Amino acid sequence: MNGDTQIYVSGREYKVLGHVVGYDQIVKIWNELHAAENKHIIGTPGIDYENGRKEKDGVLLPGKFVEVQDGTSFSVDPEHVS
Amino acid sequence: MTDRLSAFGEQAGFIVTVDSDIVRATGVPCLLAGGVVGTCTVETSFDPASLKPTDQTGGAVHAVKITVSEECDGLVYHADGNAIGNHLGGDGKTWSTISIRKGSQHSPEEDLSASDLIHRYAKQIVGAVSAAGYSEAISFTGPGAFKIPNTFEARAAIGPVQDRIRSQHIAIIGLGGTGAYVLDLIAKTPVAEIHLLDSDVVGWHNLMRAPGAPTTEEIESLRKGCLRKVDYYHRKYDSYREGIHPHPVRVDSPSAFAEFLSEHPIGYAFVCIDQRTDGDSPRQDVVYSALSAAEIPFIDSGVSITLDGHAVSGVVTTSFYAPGSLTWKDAIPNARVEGNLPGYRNVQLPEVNALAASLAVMEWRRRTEQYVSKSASFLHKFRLETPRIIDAG
Repeated sequence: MNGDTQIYVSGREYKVLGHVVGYDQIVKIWNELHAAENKHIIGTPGIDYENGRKEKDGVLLPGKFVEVQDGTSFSVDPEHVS
Repeated sequence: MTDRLSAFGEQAGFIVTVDSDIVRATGVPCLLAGGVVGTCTVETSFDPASLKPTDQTGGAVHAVKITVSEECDGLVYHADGNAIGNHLGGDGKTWSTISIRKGSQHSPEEDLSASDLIHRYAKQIVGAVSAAGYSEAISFTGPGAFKIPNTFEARAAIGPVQDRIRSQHIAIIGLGGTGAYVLDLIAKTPVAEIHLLDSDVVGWHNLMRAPGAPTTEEIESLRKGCLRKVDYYHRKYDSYREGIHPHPVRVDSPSAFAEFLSEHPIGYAFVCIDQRTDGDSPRQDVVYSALSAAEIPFIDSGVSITLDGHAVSGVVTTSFYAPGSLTWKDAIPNARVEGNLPGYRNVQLPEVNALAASLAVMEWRRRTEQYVSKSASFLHKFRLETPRIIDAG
């Protein structure tokens, strides 16, 4: 849990090493943060992030990486319904 | 007695009716105060024996009563801003009686019939709309896609913009909360055909997040038995426009969906289906793969709402795929949550569905050059919590 950069994944704090994270890593972190509640994402959820500045916000797609800073907040949305 | 008037009505988009002693043209395109395009009713009384106009309606033999579609001054106007006819009376708001003499002022001619008289007025009133540069208001009120006079396009000045999609055949795949709102919006555009695909039946819960409200007759039909969504929505919009085609097909059946695409030349598709039950959903493969293979551009819309304590958070994801694109394979979320799931119970809200549909239709307008486009991003998200749009860059 010790790392360089404190990020948020679905509102929960997490520290990562370095300043770049990937899509798979965020899903893994989400599962780790929700393990105590017995929740586990399978598949490819929607992920977007906010860096506090609008021009730094974006969508993180599978296979992609993004630069993070302290406070970068990821939202993970598993559903896609109509 | 109304042949010439009725023929003009068909061309200009108004309706002619004859009561016992009143002939009436309803929905006549006209210019209202300030040059605004509207509609009006033009009527006069007549003698049933001779069919000639009388002075019972309008106040004079050669006068008519005008009732306008919007409360203003009750008058109709020429393109130069002058009121049409001599004002004889009215309430100054919604109606007036006006007269236009036929022939010279000193030797006026009689109209052969009340219908001829209405025709004479209608020509001036409709002609003013054309002279003001709104010729599309008249041609578009003809048969077209709609069963009501389409005076909207001219008023909103979007006729030339919508010319780009007038011949388009649209498919709406999935008629859940979002798909129903997509239909509600697309039905109000002049696209040629709208194909509805869904094999589900209407449930009471569907009506809690559907556009509009069911009629008493529709509720009775639902009480009596199952009603497919495609049939319910087809009937609901059938009174309003032409070209809606229901297809109660299972979109997760490769053969049924491929057969549909082979039989119907679809120009654009909206995909509004669930994919939350299986992380490797065959429905995703069938629909998206088939659309890509058929090189049909499509817009996908999906909602994810999570119950977080006593409030919800979530996102609306809208994405566009050019003909043949396979980008959807990575871009469209396709996941499920396993385990203890108090927050993931298919939470749905009608306003979120309406927003998802609006964003999808707006993306379609942008991609079909009805909107000015200044973004190349193929995917964007609207977060409920912030609230703001985030795009994929």
